[in-house]
Amino acid sequence: MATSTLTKLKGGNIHFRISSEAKKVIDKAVTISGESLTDFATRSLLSSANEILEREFTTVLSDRDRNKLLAMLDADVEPNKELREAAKIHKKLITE
Amino acid sequence: MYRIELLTGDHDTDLFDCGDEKKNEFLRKYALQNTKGGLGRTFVAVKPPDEKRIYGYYTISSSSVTFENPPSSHLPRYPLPAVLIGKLATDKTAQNQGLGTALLFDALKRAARVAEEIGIFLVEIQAVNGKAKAIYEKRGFTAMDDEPSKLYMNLKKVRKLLGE
Repeated sequence: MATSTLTKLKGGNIHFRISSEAKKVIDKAVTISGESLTDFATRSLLSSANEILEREFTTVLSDRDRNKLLAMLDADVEPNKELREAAKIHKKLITE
Repeated sequence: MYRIELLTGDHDTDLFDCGDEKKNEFLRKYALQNTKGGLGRTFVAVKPPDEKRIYGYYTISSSSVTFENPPSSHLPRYPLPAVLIGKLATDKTAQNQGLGTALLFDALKRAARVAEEIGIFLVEIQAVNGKAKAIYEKRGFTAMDDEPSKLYMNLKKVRKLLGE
């Protein structure tokens, strides 16, 4: 099998124990996939990790929240007194 | 006066204490890692001439908003891209002196700047509790009803202020 580009990368290690039943199932799948166990595990873990991250950074809004947000994008464009004040405090405390 | 700069390995993250252990831990353990991994950036407030001690920080990254059901009106694209102000905290020694507000506006300013380059109008902020939520609402964020920890602001407001 070709050397994995993933394992060639300098990175961390993951070690963990799993049940022999689970290992058997995984070994079978790895054989079929034609990948190394490392590549298979990395790909599978990354795919789950990305899914979680995507969910973390994506908000799904209900209908009433959607309407609220769209109305805001449409019409709520004037800074209020408190936002102006925040700008002033920023000017006073932060040097460029 | 404080200066805001990108968090690097040179900053002393151990001394920082905002009173919220989760936010302390984030700064100590994950903030730099997230920057390196492309998961967003952390900006810190330092006080010249001692540039190592951190008095406050905020994180900024990209996020997006989608809808359970699409609106009837036409929007340019889905999902709606947004700039996310994820975390914002000030050190106990700097609390109640305006630094939190200054950091919030700094984050908004930065958001408005990056957003303008790529045509984004939306900024999102996450409130950890009711007090934070009330503060953000006061400054002009709109809180969601079914996602009560999420608030949004139209960046046109910030652009207007910066243009004045």
